[in-house]
Amino acid sequence: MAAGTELRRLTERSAWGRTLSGLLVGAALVLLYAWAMTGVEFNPLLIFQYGGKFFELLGRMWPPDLSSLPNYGRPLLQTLQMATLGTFLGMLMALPLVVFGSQLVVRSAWVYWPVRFVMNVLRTIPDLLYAVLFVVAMGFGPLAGVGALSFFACAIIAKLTSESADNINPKPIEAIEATGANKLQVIRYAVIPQILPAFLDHTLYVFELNVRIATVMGYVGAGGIGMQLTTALEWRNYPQVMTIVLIIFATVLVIDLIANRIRDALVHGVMIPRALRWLGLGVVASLILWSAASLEFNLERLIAGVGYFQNLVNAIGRPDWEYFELAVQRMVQSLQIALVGTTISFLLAVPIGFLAARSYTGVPLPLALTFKQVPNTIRAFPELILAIFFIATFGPGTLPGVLAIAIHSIGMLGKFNAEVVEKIRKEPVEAVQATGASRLQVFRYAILPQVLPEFLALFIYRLEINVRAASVLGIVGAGGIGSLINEAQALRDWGIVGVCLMVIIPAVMVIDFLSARVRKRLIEG
Amino acid sequence: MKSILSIRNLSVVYPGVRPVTALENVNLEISAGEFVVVAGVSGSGKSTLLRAINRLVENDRARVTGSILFDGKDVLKASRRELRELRSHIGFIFQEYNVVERLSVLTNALTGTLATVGTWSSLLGRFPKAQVELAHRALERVGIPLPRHGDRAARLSGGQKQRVGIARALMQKPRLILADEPVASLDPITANIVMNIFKKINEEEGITTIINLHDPVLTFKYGKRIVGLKQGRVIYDKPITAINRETFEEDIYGSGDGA
Ligand SMILES: Nc1ncnc2c1ncn2[C@@H]1O[C@H](COP(=O)(O)OP(=O)(O)OP(=O)(O)O)[C@@H](O)[C@H]1O
Ligand SMILES: [Mg+2]
Repeated sequence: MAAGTELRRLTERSAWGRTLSGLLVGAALVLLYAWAMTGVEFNPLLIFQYGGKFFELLGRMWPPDLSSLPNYGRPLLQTLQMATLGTFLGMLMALPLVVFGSQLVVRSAWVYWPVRFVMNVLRTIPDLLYAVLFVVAMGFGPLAGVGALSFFACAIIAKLTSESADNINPKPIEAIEATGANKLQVIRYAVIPQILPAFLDHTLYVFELNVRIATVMGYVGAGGIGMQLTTALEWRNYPQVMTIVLIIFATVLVIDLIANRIRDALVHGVMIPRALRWLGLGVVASLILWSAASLEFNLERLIAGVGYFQNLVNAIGRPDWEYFELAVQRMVQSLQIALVGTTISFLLAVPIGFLAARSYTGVPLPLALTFKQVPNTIRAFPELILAIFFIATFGPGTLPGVLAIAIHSIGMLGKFNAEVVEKIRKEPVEAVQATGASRLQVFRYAILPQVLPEFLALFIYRLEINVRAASVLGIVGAGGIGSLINEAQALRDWGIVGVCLMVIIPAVMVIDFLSARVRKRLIEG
Repeated sequence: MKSILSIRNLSVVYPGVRPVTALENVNLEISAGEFVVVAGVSGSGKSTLLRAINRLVENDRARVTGSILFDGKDVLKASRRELRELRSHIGFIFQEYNVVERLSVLTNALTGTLATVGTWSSLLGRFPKAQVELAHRALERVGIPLPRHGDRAARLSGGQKQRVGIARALMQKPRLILADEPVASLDPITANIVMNIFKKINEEEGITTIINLHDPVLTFKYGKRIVGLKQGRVIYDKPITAINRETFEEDIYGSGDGA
């Protein structure tokens, strides 16, 4: 039968093709990981050998030195003020970028493509690198921190909000246009109401991030409680180190909790009474004013800031190309650190995701709730602090960087993986059950196809974030291109910092671009 | 004729703060080769009845009492292994198609053979050649042309997804087909095409078929025996030849309790 043979040919070819491409992908992965693991000299034996030292270190930190607690009140407040002011200024800076980067508002590509380019460049620079740059430009102190945080905040708010803006519903815009309204009216009545919740949501999210970053910025001299942490570490006063780490941990947890409450309300569109809304606005406004006053931030300084910015551009505007090759080598190392660290994290986060979601695993409730808390708790420890701990355990090098990234990323990956598992549609599961398939088969054919692409997309997204992290962790001694920045800072050789920027920015841009591509493929299939 | 399914004193209660008795004392005797339509308004217990027969109601933690004999074996007393064996002989078709959207059309059809193929090779995504060919044929038989078999199931229309659902059931070589409102999400024309597929399968292969429908027109058009459910009880059970066309809607769906 002709149809039969043709059918057979078709299926055989596809089976062969599948085996072949499977083998190729497998071989490529083995090579990739072999390369990355040698690059970071990853050696699990080392972890077992010296891992005990980590707990020894914790032992020396215990009990925390509570008598020093009152000393940290002011630095802690300063940290929060830096985060508040930085986020607010970042929000103001982001607004024009969002508006002029939107195709809905600006019809001319000559406007929105350059704006988008600026947005993308701003986003490639990692948080601590901003801090280093602002310390270079403005000298030590909290204002350098505010400057760094505001640029970092602006970059993320602008990027996330314009992504939301691209996805808004064009129909209401048409409807308002159809009434004969002018451009500004359309923006006011059809665009702003649609992007405002996302804008506020992203701003609050960035505030959470900024609090985390502000706690460690002191390490490079940009003010806040991180400065106390650095001093305590230098004096090897471990009980004080523990006290500060616990303060940071508690602060981050509380801020996350409050911000998450508010964001939930925003996203779910809860109607907030008018009075409460004004009260909230008043509180936020006074917080901002109070922060500005305490940090002695004023118009004069703002104008001076523009001058500082020029210093900065001058300083790094003459990159020291002699160091180009070295910078590229270290950047590659950063990529390897990010890849190995994120992969370890992924392997740990997948089971956590299943355990934290009750729907199909039938995990008892208390256990599930515990596993839900694991990622949140881990997330509250900034990578930098983890890196500092791991450096104290294993000595400076790439391993602390890998481990810091691996542990910290469990937070986000575990949380989002659990959300993916919660969203598994039960209809396909029932259909496969109904054919008499075993539990393993149901997992393979109804659950895995639903979760795997999402898991992989999250992995790649995290990898993208971790490339940035891995390129600054070296500032504290955890390998990668950050170590070069650290050396440059010590030598006050800003040309090297310049060359590092010239390497980091395009590298991160390429990674971002590839990541977005791959994730789109994964999700849309 | 030989009985294939016999349901005795079946009651199903969904637990909760206020437990819901979805079925109460249901008795049904189905002979091999029959084509039965179960009719009733929303909430009358149609889905619960079908989902009790292959014990999918357990997913909703329902309490089931009574007995269900399929081919003489008591479904409710079956162990997990026996249950999988029983399920492999019962093709189930869902209102929402329930295809695994990220798998290909072909693989979706092949999931119908999971209970019979080797576990390990199936976990690796391998199926016997003979089954693959059967899957192609089953898909073509329900009207999915060969070039679409490699597509992701997500890219199909609703009616096409339901055909894949039927092909999956056919791959089980079932002795019984249970279909829970298989056409409720489809437009009238597609609904008739899909109903005709069921009719043909029943007539050509003699596979016993039980279909839930809420639409009186389709019920009357396709049913060869009509069972009416109301508030979890069987209130009507007649072969099509004995049905009075004038009063049947009132008898099954009517709220005014004339009886
Ligand atoms: N998982 C569940 N938990 C609790 N009660 C349920 C559950 N599923 C169904 N019920 C209740 O059982 C009764 C019968 O529901 P069932 O879904 O069997 O009706 P149905 O005839 O299929 O209705 P429909 O036409 O809407 O699908 C209803 O009162 C319903 O509310
Ligand atoms: Mg139903």
